[in-house]
Amino acid sequence: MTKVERSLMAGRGRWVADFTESFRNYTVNDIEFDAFIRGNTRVKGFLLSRLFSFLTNPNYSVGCFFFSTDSVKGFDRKHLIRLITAAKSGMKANEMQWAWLFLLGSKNIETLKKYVEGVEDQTVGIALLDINSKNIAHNKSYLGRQATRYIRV
Amino acid sequence: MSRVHSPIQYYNLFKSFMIVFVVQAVVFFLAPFIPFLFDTMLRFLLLSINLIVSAVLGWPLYKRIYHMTFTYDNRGFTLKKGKKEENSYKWNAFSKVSLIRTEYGDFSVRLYRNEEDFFDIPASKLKLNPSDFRFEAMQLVSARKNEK
Repeated sequence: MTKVERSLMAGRGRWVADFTESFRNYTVNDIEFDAFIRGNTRVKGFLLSRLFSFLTNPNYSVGCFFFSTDSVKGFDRKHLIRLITAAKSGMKANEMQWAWLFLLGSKNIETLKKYVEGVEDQTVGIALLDINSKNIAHNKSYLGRQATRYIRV
Repeated sequence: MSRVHSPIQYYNLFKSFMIVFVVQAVVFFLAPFIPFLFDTMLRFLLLSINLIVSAVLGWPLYKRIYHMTFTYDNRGFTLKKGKKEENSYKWNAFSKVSLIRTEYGDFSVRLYRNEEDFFDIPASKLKLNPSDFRFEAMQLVSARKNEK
């Protein structure tokens, strides 16, 4: 988790947004996410980069919710739906325009992959990160597809 | 038992040195004896004096304005910056902890009293491991909160 957090805040994640703040054990609607990282698509920098960002990037609040599926026995589609609902509530509470839900796991990956790929919801990008094989599966939404570009396990 | 972190911040020490150096340089350039500066030996001598004075005065300036001392124990912490600024808090004054990256690339640990009101501990500047210290702060905050 720490590695993923670091890659978002100080590594590849910066290509998508300026992720500046990270919470651990973040609770939304009685669901405790392992981490929640938030930021903004408008990057703060020095003179030119700040001006370039101001002119080209939208001013969107964005956030990533992380959940370890191994911590739940028999993680199923219902759990996933509850997580998506909680992520949407978190999105609303933090006035975010874009949000991603990252599931980290090492057990029952093929089943989880089917659940994730079957999600039709377009408002949240969902990605499953296989800790063992380091593969990433995502849902069909635009945000889901983008997730694979900047996250590394 | 309280723990104290008070590392030298080389960037701020250099900044203090440069402040004294630039002030002296401006004074020398505006001084009425400027024609004498065409003498190479004299110029070297003045530069050497300038450097020595900057080193001698830069250190107290750094200690007075920038040097940070962070002391903490199970009950609370004190962050002292320079000679004047001192902030002391109890861990139970806070409810939430996060790790933030500043626009300069440093990491700080942010302690929230509520959504709007927070206090930042500059972990990177204090040479604390930001990630480890965040978890330590989370433990201290939650332990104290439970005692409330």
